Amino acid sequence: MKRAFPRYFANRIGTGARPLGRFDVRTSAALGAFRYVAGNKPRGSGVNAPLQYSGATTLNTCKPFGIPIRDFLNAFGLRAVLVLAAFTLTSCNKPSEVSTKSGEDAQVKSLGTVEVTARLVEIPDGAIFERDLYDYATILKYEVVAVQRGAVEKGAIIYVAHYNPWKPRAEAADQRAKNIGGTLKQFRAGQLHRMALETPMDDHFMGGIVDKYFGKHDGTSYWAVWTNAAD
Amino acid sequence: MTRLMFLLLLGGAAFGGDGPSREPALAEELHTLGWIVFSAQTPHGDWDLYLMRPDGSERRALTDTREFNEAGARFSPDGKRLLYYRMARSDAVDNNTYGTFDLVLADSNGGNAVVYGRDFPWASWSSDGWQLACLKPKSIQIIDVASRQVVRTLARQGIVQQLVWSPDGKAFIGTANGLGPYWNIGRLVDGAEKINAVSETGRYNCTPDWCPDGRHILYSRGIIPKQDGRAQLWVASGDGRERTMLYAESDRHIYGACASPNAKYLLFTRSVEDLGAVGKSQTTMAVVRWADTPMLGDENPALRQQFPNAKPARWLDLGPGWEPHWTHSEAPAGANTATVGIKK
Repeated sequence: MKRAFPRYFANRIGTGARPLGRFDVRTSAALGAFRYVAGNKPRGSGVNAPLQYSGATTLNTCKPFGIPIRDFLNAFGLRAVLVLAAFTLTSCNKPSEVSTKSGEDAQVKSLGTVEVTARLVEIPDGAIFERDLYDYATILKYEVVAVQRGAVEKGAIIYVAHYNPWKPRAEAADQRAKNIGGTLKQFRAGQLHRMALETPMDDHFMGGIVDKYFGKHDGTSYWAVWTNAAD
Repeated sequence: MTRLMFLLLLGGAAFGGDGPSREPALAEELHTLGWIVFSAQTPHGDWDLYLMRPDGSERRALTDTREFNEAGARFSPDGKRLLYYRMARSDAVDNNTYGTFDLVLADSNGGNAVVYGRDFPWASWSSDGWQLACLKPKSIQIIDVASRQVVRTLARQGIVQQLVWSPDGKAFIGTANGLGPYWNIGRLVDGAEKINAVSETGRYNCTPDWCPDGRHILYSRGIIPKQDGRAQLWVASGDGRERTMLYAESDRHIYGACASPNAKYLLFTRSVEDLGAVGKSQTTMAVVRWADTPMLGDENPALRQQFPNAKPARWLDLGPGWEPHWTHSEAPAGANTATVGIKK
C-alpha cells in the first residue's frame, strides 16, 4: 500500500497541464502556480518546483493591473507578490460545478448507496484496454481515504468495477450501463477518486468483467456509478 | 436485365458464400435433416430471419421487417415454435447484446408472431416448450409462456449472457463472470450451491450451447488477451474436466455453434473479424460431421503443430448468416407468411 504514495506523486508530475484552479494553496508554490495559470508547465521536478522559474522574461509576461511584474516587484516588494498570488488564487480559480479539491458534486453525493474518497492503488497489467468489440468492466483496487456515505471503513481496501475504463467517465455510459459518469478523464495509479458506488455489483451490471484480482480477494466488489477526480 | 443483375448482386449479401467448400456427399446426407433458422443482413441493410435446409438449399425469408433487426432465433425442442429478438434497425446486431431487446415468440414458420417485450432477456426454451428461462439482473427467472408469469427464480451466479437451459431441464449454461479473470462458460446445476467453470479460465470464452445428450457443452474458446489467435470451437463435459477442440481455423473466429438434433453434425459461424458487432465481421455459416472432428478448417503450420491429429478440412459452406439453430422438424416448412403486422 505504501508504494502507492510515491507513484501518486510521480503521476501527478507526469500528468501535464492541469485544469485551471487545481494547484495547491501553498505560499511557496504561489509564484509557480501563477505561471501554471498561464498554461505553462513548470520546468522543475515536482509540484512544488515552480520557484525554480526561469527568470524575468517569463515573469514579465504577467502584468498585474497592467504593470510589468518586475516593476510591480520593485514597487511593492515580495509582500505585494504574496498578496497578488492570494488574490489570483481566490479570484481566478472558480470551480464551476465540481469542487476539484474534493471531487464533490451533486451526482457523487446523491447516486449509489456508498460514497467514498479512495486512492487507486494500481492498475494491473491488462486490466484496462481499448477494444471496441467488447464492452466490459474492470475491477480496480482502492484504499479508502474517507467515507462520506455507507458502511465502509476508512483505510479499507475495496475493489471497484469501472465500465469501459478506457473511456473518460463522462463518455462511458451507454445502453448497457446507464447513469454512470463523472469528471475523471483517465485512470492512473495513485489518483484520488471520489466515487458513488453500488453493491452488489451483479444487481447493476450484466456484462463481461475483467478481474485481474481473481482469486486474490473475497467479498464485495462495488459498481462505480460516479467517479470524480479528487486530487 | 441490368436491374435483375443488380438485384442478384444485392441478394448476394444474404445468400452468397465466401468461397465454395462443397462436400457433395455431406450436402446430400444433410438435405432432408430438417431446417436451420439464422439471421442475415438483407440487401436493404437490416437483419431478418431466414430458413434453409441444412445443406444450404431452399433459403427463404422468415421475417421481412425493414424497420427492425431480428436475431438470436431458437427453435423450441419440438420445432413448432420459435423465439427470437427484435430491435430497432438503428441498434447494431451484436453477439453480446442481442438477447437484451424485445423477445418475440412465433410459430416456427414465422407466423403468429407475438412481441413479449424487453422483460425477457436471454430467453431459452424449457424441454417441453411451455416455459422460458430468462436472465435478469437479480436472478434467472422461469417464465410460464402462456401467462408470462414468473414461476420461480434462482440466483444467476455470475451468468451475464447467452443463457441456455439444458435439454433435460436440470441445468443452465451461459457466459459468466467470477470464474476467472475473464468471462467464461459456466454451468449452473439447478439446486446446486455453486456454478462451475466449463471452459478454461485464462481466456475469453462465449456462445455456449448444450449437446443433445445434456451432458456436454459446445462453446467458443476465445483468445488470450494481448495474444494473437482466433476463437475455436470446443466441446467440454459439464463439469469442465474434459475439453476437446472440434474445429479451428487460422483466420476465422468460430462462434455460435450448435449440434444437429441427432448429434451427428456441428453447425457454426466463421467470422473474419472478431465478434461483437456482427455487421462488419463477414460472418458465414458452415457445417461439419462430428465424426470428422477434430478438424482444421485450413492448413496452418502453427495450428497443425498445436493439433497434430486434427483431420483435414471437410466442411460445407452455408453462406452468410449468424446465430443459426437447427431442428429436425418439418414444421418450419409450413406456409410462410412473413412476419408483418405482428401482435403485441
